[in-house]
Formats: sequence, structure tokens, C-alpha cells
Amino acid sequence: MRTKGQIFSADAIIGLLVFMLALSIVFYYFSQISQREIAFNEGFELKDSAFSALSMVVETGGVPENWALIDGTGVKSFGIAQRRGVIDHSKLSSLCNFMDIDYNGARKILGLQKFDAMISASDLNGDSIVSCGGVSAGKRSSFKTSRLSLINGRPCLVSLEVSR
Amino acid sequence: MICNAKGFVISFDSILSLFVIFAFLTASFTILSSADLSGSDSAFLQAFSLDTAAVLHNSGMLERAVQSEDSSEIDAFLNMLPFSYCARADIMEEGSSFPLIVSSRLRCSDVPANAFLSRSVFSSNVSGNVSFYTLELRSWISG
Repeated sequence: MRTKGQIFSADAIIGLLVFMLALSIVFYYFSQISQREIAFNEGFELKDSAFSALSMVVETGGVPENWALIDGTGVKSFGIAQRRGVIDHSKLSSLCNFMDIDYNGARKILGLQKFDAMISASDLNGDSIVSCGGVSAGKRSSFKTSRLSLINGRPCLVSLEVSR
Repeated sequence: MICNAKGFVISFDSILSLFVIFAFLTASFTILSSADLSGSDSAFLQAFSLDTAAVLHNSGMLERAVQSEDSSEIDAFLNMLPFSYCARADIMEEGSSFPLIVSSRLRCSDVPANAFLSRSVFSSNVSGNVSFYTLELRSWISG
């Protein structure tokens, strides 16, 4: 018997349902993986950027060394350390002045142009020494990291909070 | 023979391919779920530990501790450190492996095997003689 025609039996319907079910599971998996990957990358970028920027600030004297005395356009990188573990208070104040005057320029030099940045320093009792910069309004995510150093002979925490 | 029986054809190939796809997706999902940022936490611990050692050196706390053979100032400093950062400082005289002074943060006396160790040397003038000491600072994140 040679008959032609469309076979649209229960077999085909059930087969299609199984296929659609498998396909929807695959799509669900992919969307979950994609969301996790995005969250992971965003979190890592936030942490890495904050840690790198703060390390540059508290471990170096900046480039050029006298950046606090020159015009802002000549500043290559901010650094407020006299030496490891000792912060130059006047450079810390200059950094905050720079951020108040040219926030976007300061973020660019810090390598944080994609984020909002807030720098603060406080002693170990929590008393604030200085605070400057900004935190995103309605921030999606943020990360704060701190480093220990002496400011005017007192152990203090210099913190950087980045957000977007 | 003509066979008119109805039924599904579930081939071994199709089952195998479905199994491979789901195994792959499950493995990917598991790996991504277990991924953490411990690498940057480790970098933070090392940096903060070196900061702590630098502050101990630059503030003169180490010299005062060996001159008075009293760890209370270092104890107070370590106890004021934030986070769940734990540290234990052992100060030894040059050539000795026995600690002259042991100082640690409260609730941080048990040093885990994976604690970060930084070792540095400093000098102090004790009774008119310059002596050399070694600071061993072990740091870890508690909890």
C-alpha cells in the first residue's frame, strides 16, 4: 500500500510535547547560568576594581610624587602613602579636594569610571577623619574595602566604597 | 510481514544525547554555583596582614612591647581591628624560636593551618643594648 499524507497522530503530539519540555528545560538552564555568570562577573569586577584602586592609593605616593601640588591634568595616579603603613594626611585631604572639584576626573584616574566611588577614613573607634565622593542613588550593588594605616600617628582605616 | 502496530521509537542515540546535554548543563550549573570570590578575599587578607605588621612597626608598639615585656598595647590594638579579621603576633628574640611575647585578638587564639604568615625583623634598644627581634604575624578570617 502506497498512501501519501500527513501523519498527525497522538504519537506526534506526545513527541512534540516531550521535545518542547526538553527545550524549555534547556532554556531555563541557560537563563539561570547566564544570570549567575553576569552576577559573578559584576561582583568580581566591583571587588577587583575597589581593591586595586584602594591599594594604589594607600601603598604609593602617587605619580608624580608631588601630584597634590600640581594641576589636575598632570596627575597620573593618586597615592597618599609616605611609606607602607603611613598615610600623608595632607595628601589625603588633597585627594578629597580633587574628588570634590572634579569627581569624574578623579574616578577616571582611580580606574573607577564605571562606578561611583566614596573614600573615607576613620580611626579604630569609628570617628570619621575625612569622607568624600559619592554613592550611587538607588545602587544595584556596592562593595566596600578597607586598609589599615597610620594617620598622624594613629591607626586608622582608609575605606573605599564602590557602587553602581 | 506488514506491521501496523503503533508506538514510540526511543532510540539509544537519542537517550544518550539527552543524557549528555543534561549532564553538561548540570555540570556547568554546579560549577557556576560553587564559584566564589575567595581569590580576592585572600588578597585582602594578605594586604591587611601586611598593613597590620607595618602599623605595629611604624607606631613603635613592637619596641615598647619588648622594652616592657608587656603585650597589653598590642592586644588592645588587635582587639580594635574590624571585620572578622583575626591575628596573632609572636615576638621572638633573634636566634630564638621561643616567643618572648604572644599577643592575639580575643576569640582568635586557635590559629588555623591556612593562616597567612608574615615575618619581619625589627630592632629595639633595651637597657642600652640594641637587640634584634622577629615578628611573626599570623592572620586569618574567622568564621
